[in-house]
Amino acid sequence: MIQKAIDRYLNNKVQTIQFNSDGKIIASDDILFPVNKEETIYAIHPFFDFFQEIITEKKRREVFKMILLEINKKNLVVDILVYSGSIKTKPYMLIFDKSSFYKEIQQITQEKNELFISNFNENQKNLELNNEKKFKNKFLASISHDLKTPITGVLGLLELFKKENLAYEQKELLNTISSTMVHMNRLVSDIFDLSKMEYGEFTIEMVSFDLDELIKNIERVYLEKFLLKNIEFQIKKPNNIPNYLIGDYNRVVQILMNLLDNAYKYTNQGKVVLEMHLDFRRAKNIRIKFVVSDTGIGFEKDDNNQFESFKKLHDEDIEGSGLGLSIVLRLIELMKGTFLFNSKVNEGSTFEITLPFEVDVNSQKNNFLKSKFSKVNIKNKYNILIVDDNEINQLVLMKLLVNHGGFYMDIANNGERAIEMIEKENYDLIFMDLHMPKMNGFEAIEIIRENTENNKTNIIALSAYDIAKDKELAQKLKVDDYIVKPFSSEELFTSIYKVLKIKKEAT
Amino acid sequence: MINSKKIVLVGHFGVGKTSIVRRYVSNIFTTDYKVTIGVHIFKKEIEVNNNKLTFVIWDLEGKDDIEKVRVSHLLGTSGFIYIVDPTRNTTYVNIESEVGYLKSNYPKAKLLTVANKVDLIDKEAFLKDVSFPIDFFTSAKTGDNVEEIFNKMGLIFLKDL
Repeated sequence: MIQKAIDRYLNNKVQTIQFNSDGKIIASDDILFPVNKEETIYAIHPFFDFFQEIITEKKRREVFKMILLEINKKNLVVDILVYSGSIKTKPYMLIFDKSSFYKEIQQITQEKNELFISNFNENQKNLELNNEKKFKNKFLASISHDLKTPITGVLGLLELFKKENLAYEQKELLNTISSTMVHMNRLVSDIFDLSKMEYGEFTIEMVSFDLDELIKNIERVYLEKFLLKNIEFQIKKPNNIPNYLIGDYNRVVQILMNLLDNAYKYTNQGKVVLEMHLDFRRAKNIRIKFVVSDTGIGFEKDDNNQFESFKKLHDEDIEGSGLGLSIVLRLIELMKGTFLFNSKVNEGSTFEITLPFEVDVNSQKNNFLKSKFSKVNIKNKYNILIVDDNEINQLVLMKLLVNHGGFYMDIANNGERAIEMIEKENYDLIFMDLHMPKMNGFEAIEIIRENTENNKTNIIALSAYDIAKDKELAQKLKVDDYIVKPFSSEELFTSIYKVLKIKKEAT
Repeated sequence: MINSKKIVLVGHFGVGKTSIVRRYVSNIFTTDYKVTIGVHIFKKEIEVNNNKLTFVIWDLEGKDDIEKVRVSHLLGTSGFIYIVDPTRNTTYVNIESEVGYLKSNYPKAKLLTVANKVDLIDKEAFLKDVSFPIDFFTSAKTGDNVEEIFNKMGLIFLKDL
């Protein structure tokens, strides 16, 4: 009685089949399925085929679990115990019906496997998307770098050209070409910056700068621009904001210029104002709020998410502004700043940006940013080696040095050639491009610093890659200065004067 | 019964073992995935070079580790077909050690390696990624090369007869 209850609970239906050493069926209780007593066990199901091997060996006992048997169009999932027999006992097998138990396992395993495969596929898709994105960004970084080299060359040549005696119309044409090239350079730089941000190679610098100088530089660019469009342009900076700050000067300029360009584009009358406010100050830490407001055409805000809304506004307006506004948002994020804007159609827009800085309490005025560039007449000539694989770059550098006066020059097309020349000649200064075929600038600098007799020669590294890594590596190799291409003649000579310690008193 | 051979299909779950055997035995293919629990056994008689052979094909439940397969299921195996899914690298990253395990524990059994689902992949990219020779590239979906695996296995068995 109890056994029956247990069996019912366990639902253990068991069929017993006895057979002889040839596999011929002797007896079966047919609990699970009927068997033909005239047949062998091999005729029941292909599973039993290999019992031939088992029953050749006496007293062998094997258990097979989870076997699907399809018999008389009925599916059973069973466990099978087979005994090969002894002198006293005939071979037999016990077939345990576990169908309902295995059905549950089947469902659980089905769900588990499906989940596993779908997760795998999802991960795979994400991986492929990331790889594509990475490839795209690397491609963009590489192509924008390659574009920078010829742009540098053209900008350098244009600068040389401006110094020639030209007619008014020629000067005007030259100015137009020049501003177009500057615009192109900015677009290429934007692509370069964005791709670097995307694959995480973009870093924010913390250098000392003069805020007054930054404002003057911005004023210099926009005052005339707005005046020509008959728009009033004002900059307001209260006295409670300290002048000497530590932060990323170039990126602050980039953000403000992008917002002012935006205001310029959408304002046809009235005024544009750039205002600064001290938002927060504790010890060295300071936060400055920059507000750019205009009386332009404005736009409708369609949701509360400032960043998304601004991005959408930018996405809808592809023409003209390049990638600048996307970069503004990414830069603010990277600088841990905040961004807000308000706009009303036909009334204008206000953009508020808050950026953190440190106050540079010890700083003296930054000479490079503060002082206006003035040419120094050089009495004693300096011996200079230009190492660059690009002929236009060689020409520009050479022309700038010739026009300035005071330099002897040699040229090497790659690092290998440069080292040969350095071993034969003493140079006061080497201009070393970092990216060249055969032997690049990094390798060449390393060899010069470690192996040559002239290991203390001044070196200025030149690169169109303004990646922090490039600069860091160059500094590790102890270069005396680093210039990012394209550079102006002022930047070039400021660097030369600094490295060669040429003083203005010499004039 | 002399020429009855037990062939066992092994590999991770979802690589298409059941699809291959169903395509081979019944010429059927369905896109839905139904997990195999335990073992399904099929029988097929074939003729190779005028010799009749009976294949008893054991379609085992997929396991991510060959050592997890019940030893009793592998008893008396004459040939293994190790199947991988080239769209999921987890099914073939350990192919070398899995095949090595079978060869050392069942030294008399023959073994063929199969990459199924070739209709879904870039074969060149897969070949660069997989570290072990693959004998057959099949598609249970289109039926490509499925019969050829078993014919090849039949030829290998005949050599030993």
